[in-house]
Amino acid sequence: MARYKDPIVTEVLGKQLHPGEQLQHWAYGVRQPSMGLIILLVLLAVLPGLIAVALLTKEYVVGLTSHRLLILRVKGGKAAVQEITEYNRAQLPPSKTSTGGLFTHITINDPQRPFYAKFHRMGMANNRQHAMAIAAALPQAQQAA
Amino acid sequence: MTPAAPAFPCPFCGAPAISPRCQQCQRDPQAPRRICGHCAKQTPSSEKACMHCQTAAGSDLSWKIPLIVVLFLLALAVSIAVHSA
Repeated sequence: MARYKDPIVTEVLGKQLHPGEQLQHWAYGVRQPSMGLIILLVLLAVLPGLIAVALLTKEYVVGLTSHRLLILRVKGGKAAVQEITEYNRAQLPPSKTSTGGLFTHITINDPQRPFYAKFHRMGMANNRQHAMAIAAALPQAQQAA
Repeated sequence: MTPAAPAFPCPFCGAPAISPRCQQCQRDPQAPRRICGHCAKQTPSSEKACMHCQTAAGSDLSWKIPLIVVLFLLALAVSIAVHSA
């Protein structure tokens, strides 16, 4: 079920690193359309609705480095990078995280660079551990800032 | 303890970037950025055209929305055909 394997993700994130910067944790997450839209689309027609939800779902690879939180919007089997958002770890905006049985949710409440994604525990190998480590680092970095 | 972020080069023009603005291209080095599909260089997401090759940025929704509409119309046509058969 894993969407990407570790070497692909670390390679994609590694290309964004600066000299001397170390990748500490990485995770794969998605942002689906709102639940209301999903219900509406599936009620209209099940199969086209599910296809529409898949098409409208954004995929992210998130990396926590020694200096930054890197968020890459990716697509395709080789995780082609579409968009890059980064946050300085020393100046992380307020964030909200939660972990349930299946998903770890990360919300970054930044007016200029808002971010939300949920990380399924089977999204990648050790996705849950990495996502929880990233989530744990957010409040710590926020307190330190 | 998180180390202080050193000054990294501007992702857009390569000049030494000093937050919050690059002294050379006057862009925010930490602004969300996209990869140009034409030249593969980075441009702020807020700009409509690539700052390097001037190629206009296309949105995935420009083909996804029509495809979704076609899928639903197809489903509707199939259901009508099955119902009338």
